[in-house]
Amino acid sequence: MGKYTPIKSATGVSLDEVGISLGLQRLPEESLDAYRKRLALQAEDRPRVDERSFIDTISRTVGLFEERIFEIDLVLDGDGDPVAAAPRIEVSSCFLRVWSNYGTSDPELVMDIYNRGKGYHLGDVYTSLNALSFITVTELPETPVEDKDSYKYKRSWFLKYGNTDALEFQGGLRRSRMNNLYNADGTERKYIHNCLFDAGRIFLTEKASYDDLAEPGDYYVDYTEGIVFTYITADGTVSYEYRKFPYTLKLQPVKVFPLYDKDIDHLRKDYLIKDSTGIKDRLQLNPYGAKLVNDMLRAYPLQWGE
Amino acid sequence: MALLTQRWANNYPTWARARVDPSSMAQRFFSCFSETYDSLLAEKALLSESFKLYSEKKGLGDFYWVYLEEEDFFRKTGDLLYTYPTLVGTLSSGSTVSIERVDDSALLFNGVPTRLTKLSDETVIPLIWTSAAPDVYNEIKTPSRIGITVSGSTHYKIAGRDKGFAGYYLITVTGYDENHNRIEDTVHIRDDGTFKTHRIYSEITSVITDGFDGVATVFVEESYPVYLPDKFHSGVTVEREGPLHLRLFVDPTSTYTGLELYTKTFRQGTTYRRDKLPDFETDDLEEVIDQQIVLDPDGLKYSIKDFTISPLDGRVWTLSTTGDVYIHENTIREFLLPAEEQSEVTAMDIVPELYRIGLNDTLYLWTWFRQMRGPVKEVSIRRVSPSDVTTYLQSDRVTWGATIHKFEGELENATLPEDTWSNIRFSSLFDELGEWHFYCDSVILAGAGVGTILTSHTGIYCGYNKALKKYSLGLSGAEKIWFSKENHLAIVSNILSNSGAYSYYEVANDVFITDIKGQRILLREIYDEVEVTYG
Repeated sequence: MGKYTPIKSATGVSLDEVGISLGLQRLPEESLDAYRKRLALQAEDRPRVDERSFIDTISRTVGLFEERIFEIDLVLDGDGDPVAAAPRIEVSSCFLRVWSNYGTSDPELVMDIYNRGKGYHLGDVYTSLNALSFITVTELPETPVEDKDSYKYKRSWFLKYGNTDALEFQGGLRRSRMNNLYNADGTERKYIHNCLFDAGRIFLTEKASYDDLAEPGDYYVDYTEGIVFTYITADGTVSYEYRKFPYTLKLQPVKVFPLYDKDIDHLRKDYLIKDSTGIKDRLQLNPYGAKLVNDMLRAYPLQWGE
Repeated sequence: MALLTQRWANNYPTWARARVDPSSMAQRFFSCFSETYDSLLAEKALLSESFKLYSEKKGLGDFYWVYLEEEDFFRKTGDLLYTYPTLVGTLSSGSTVSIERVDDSALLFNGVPTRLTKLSDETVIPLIWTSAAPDVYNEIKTPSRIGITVSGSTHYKIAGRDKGFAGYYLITVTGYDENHNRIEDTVHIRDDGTFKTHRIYSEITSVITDGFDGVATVFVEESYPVYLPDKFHSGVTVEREGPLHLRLFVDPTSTYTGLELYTKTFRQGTTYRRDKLPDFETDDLEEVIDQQIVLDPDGLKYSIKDFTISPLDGRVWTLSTTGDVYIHENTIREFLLPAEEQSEVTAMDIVPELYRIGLNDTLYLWTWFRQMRGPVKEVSIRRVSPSDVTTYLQSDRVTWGATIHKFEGELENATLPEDTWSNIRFSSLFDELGEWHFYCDSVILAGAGVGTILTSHTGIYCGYNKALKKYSLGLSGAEKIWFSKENHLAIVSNILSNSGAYSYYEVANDVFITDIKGQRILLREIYDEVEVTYG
């Protein structure tokens, strides 16, 4: 007579085959449901060889999912245009910044989300964002109703690196006198700016309103709604910038940011007088910075040999 | 009797008893083989179910082994004879369960489950959207596939006749998946009925319908199936073959509910789309294969509130009006060898309208003068009920009594044998479950069998389905039962008032199979600890 602890023996399932072709293996102890969800995400949003995609896809490789925390949208005036002239949100390696008029004035909100202080927890971030008059903030955490405030005690440093800036390069225009600009998922793209058209004959004179279109070459851009109107049928392409609102702030279980980000210099570099300016700047790797660089070089040796 | 017996029988002409009479010797013989065929087909379908992406640990995902130490090795008691240990498993909750040995891997993976364990309770609004209130989109509590029903259509558009119609009958559902990517799924509607999206939604933002004028509703997964197709079995009738469908039926006295097995022949949508086609009555669109009153494992009748087909074992799981859960094999009853054998020569047969009927139904039957070489002297018709009570058809052809009534042949003015008998129609009420035996005893005056009483037999089954197992849950308010995408049993109440209270149960099968050579035990379920003892 004996007592035994059963030994688990995992066997292959059809999902594993799918996972191999998508480059994601099932992790030990990972449920099939979670694995299927991870593969669905990988299939829907395939990794690309660029920095943005690396940041977006890193969590799923270790079996974790990003969590949507806040949805931030713009407050509109009576005409339906944003109250803020050039709104921008940025989450860097250590700071959260919010501008109402980016490029012209300083940010309305700067929060240190790394060090202990008033931006250390998400609850503090919510309070600060909610106080800004030109944006609205909606809480999105997918937690049970009874625990709806539990997210407020999570570290805000895990907010995903990114900003609201976006660029469309040479997007095609339909042969029509009205062109809506769309996102890849079919939703309408709004808050565009800095448009550059390549069909100069069609886009000769920009007008202030649709009613002013009077002759060939006249065009009008509804920058808020992302619609291009032309007097004659449009053609060619348009390159433009747009602001990604509503913007979703996500919590990233594996925090990723580029090492060239200036905002992390205070953690990894000590002051040194810069030769060219004679002013103290963060130039000297400190022990933590040296460790990071050594870890990186160990993974990616930048020389022949070992 | 296996449902596929009829497929074998359909190789014969329609006038042959081998084709139309499931109580015939031929069909009882075919049944021996089709049983195997039927179970193989079900196992094949179950294998495909085990690959279901959502299923949680059931199927091929994980095994649990116990490697025995020498003192617990299987004890050999003779050539190829072993004594197997008794196993008791300790669950994570601390309670213990007895683990039974099975000798077949099919029973290990798809055997009748032994244990239901409650996992969670939650409240869900099952209705997400309806075309009656198209601007309202309710929240989806747990990401799931979406069930869609279309009902009450009186007109399906025709391309070219209905202005602006492109020819696509569809429902397009747009929303977000569980990773919050925007997704869109289009379900093509061939007819009113129940449909399901391929994609999993966490939020729905738009539903577009086109091609029909019925009411479309969008529900959480399988909340509202109109009927259930059984992917583990086929619906075969004398005339045709198609998918097997199941639905509830109520006996004519409205006392009992049961299961009705049927197959569809035409889709109602066909009539909508073609001019000059008559509107079919429902009876023309489908063919009923069997009506089964459900019995509990003790043979007592109970009433069904709802039922589902289990992806775990291919069986029918029912929810009774008392809130208990029963497991039934989805099959039809086997006709037995009659107590009294037929004579070698048959002059007169009995042909019923149907061979399988529901409880408390009244059925017409006819005599069929098959061997018209000898004049008929007299005919008597006997009926033996499932409880072995013999009665005889009386002269009014409706009443059945204990005394024999002999229907005389018309010999006086007859010049040919066929003129001596006009086939008679008679009726019988089937108020008892089981096989009813009808015997036709005839005496002829010439030809084979002259001088003896020629007896033919026809069986009619008043169908029932006895449960393999019962789980006494006593959830008297429960209204619906189905399996969630994780293969958990969901029992739901208040769903009809659109505030569903869901209770999820884990279905477990405490069984093990032995590996003699490796001296190890393969378990179906997870246990913290397993105790191995020899009695």
